[in-house]
Amino acid sequence: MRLLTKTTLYYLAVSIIVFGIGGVVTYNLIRNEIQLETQYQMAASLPRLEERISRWIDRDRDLSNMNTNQLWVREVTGPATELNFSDTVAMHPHLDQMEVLRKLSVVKEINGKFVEIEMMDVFVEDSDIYESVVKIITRLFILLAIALILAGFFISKILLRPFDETLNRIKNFKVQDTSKMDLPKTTTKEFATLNSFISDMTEQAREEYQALKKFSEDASHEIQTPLAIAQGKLELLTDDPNLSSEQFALITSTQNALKRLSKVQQSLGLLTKIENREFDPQHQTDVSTLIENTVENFKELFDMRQLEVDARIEKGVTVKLDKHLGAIMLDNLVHNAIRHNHEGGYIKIELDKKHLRISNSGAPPPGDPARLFRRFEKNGSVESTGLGLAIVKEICDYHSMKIHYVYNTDHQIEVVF
Amino acid sequence: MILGGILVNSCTCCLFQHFKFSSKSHFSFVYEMKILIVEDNQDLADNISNYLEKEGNVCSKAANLFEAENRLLEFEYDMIILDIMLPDGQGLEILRTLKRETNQNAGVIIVSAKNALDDRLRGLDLGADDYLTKPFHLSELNARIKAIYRGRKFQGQQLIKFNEIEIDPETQEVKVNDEFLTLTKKEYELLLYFIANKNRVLTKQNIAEHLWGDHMDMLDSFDFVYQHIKNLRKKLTAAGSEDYLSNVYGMGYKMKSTVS
Repeated sequence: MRLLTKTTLYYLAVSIIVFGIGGVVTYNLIRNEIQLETQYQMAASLPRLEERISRWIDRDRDLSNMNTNQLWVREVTGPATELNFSDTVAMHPHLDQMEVLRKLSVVKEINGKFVEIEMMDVFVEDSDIYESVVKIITRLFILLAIALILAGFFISKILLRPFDETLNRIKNFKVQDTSKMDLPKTTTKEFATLNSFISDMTEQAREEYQALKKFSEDASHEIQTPLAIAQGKLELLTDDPNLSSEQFALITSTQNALKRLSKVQQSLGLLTKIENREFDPQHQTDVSTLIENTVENFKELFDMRQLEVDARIEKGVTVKLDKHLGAIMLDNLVHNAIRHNHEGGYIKIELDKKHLRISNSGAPPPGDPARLFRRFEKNGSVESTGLGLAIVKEICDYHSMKIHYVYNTDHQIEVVF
Repeated sequence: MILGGILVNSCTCCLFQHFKFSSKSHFSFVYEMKILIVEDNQDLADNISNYLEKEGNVCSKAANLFEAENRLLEFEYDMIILDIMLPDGQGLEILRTLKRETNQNAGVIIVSAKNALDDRLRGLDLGADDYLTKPFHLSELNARIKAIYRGRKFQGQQLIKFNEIEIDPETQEVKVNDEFLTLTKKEYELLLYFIANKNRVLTKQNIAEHLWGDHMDMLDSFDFVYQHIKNLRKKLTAAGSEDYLSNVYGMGYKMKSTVS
């Protein structure tokens, strides 16, 4: 639920309570005021009534003729009383229904006689007051609700815009970005604080990322350059026509060692890069084509080792996978299937929308299969860097894919997308 | 500028002498390139120039961006070997200058310790012809430079001649004594590699890396290299070519330009 919807709902809930209480209070206030007014009116009409009664008494007329359904006059023995107001239920004079009416009763001494006067009056019925109050409150509430929603709309358009903008920028932020995150200027203090905080944080993340990236590049440069020098010097040395066969053998094996060192460094550099998330894991990669290309690239190696390749590749499987890393992963997997195979063996490659399975013939692995994906884990092969499958695992983790190894008459590595 | 102009003229006239008569009066395909090596590491620059000068090329060296730009403004080069990590800036800058102003005809090969894909792509985008990751074999660099030069100078039209062997790089056809010879792709690549590095010992490792790139380490023996060379040799001699390929020290091979 959006922040604004939530606040609006809270406001409306609070308004319902306030309006409810307000309604009761309003009802009571209005009712009391009307009551007082009614009493005042009745009391005010009393002197004239007294005059009338006094005239009637003078003329000796029967006071009961004066009675109506609102007025009741009779002679009593006394004594005189104060004005007394009370509620009574009686027939409404016009509405033909029982209503709560205000009653005034008093005993007055008029021309030496005690006369009891009862007067009933209604200005506004309670139900009318109630209805009106409910009507007023409901209309006010509807008005308020409309106002709140409209206000919310404008608030989000104007007041919350910098906040929305900031959210948007954060969503699109990548540590790989080369330029500083540009946050909108805002005069709202809280947003300004938030923006400056986010700005600092992202800048720091970006700098750390860049520093790490630069470090791994520099490290690579600093290691590969001397290796290149050594490699070149050895190569120049082989140009010497007076070289003996032993010397040449020494040079070649030194070159091989240098090459391996360089490969280890490159693999470690790649692992660092994956850990530093320098790739694009959201890229939609056509894995089917990628595998077909990989198989094509390795064709000669398959033939050389007389491996039978059975590739069952579903067409058009696309997976969120960095293109470059995807190629490396497949290379390493196929590479691995060739390396741990025997001459005349087989490699099965299966791809569907959910899995990639590569099985190959070969001797069972010694020890715990989970170790296979660890770094520098080698199966006695000196040539290998022991990093190929560690890289595959790292790539899978990076793309939230699962990878399993099973040995069950043959080696099987399964990647679940 | 006037001095520069004169120098440019004086070296362009020799640039077009691509063919040299060897002592045996065969046509021998020798490139004489003017090469600028932009590399801040003195040792590495020396290695490269040392190797390439033995091929008859003229090399000059620039250790930083500033020097490189100066040289490019003054002279005309056929080939630039460019390290993209220079102390005073990114080597990619030079590519930009190059494309805009001077030396537009020069081939560029980037040499970098960074295997960074974006650098590679950016370099090729900016007009580099190739990209080589450190450490590399000098023979590999040499072969690539020649391929670039061939492509640039002759748009691949020029035939490569090595005594009685003639190669058309465009159609990948090989002729021996004017007779077509059918080679597999790898044999063809191998032959080209040998010719580019003739009279030099190439190790099996070196050859395997050229043919299979990074996958070579799994070739648990270099028997495959041996196999390919044996086949190539057989095909060449069967077609009437001299046997130029020889095994050296049991670990490497060499293509001699003359058979003694």
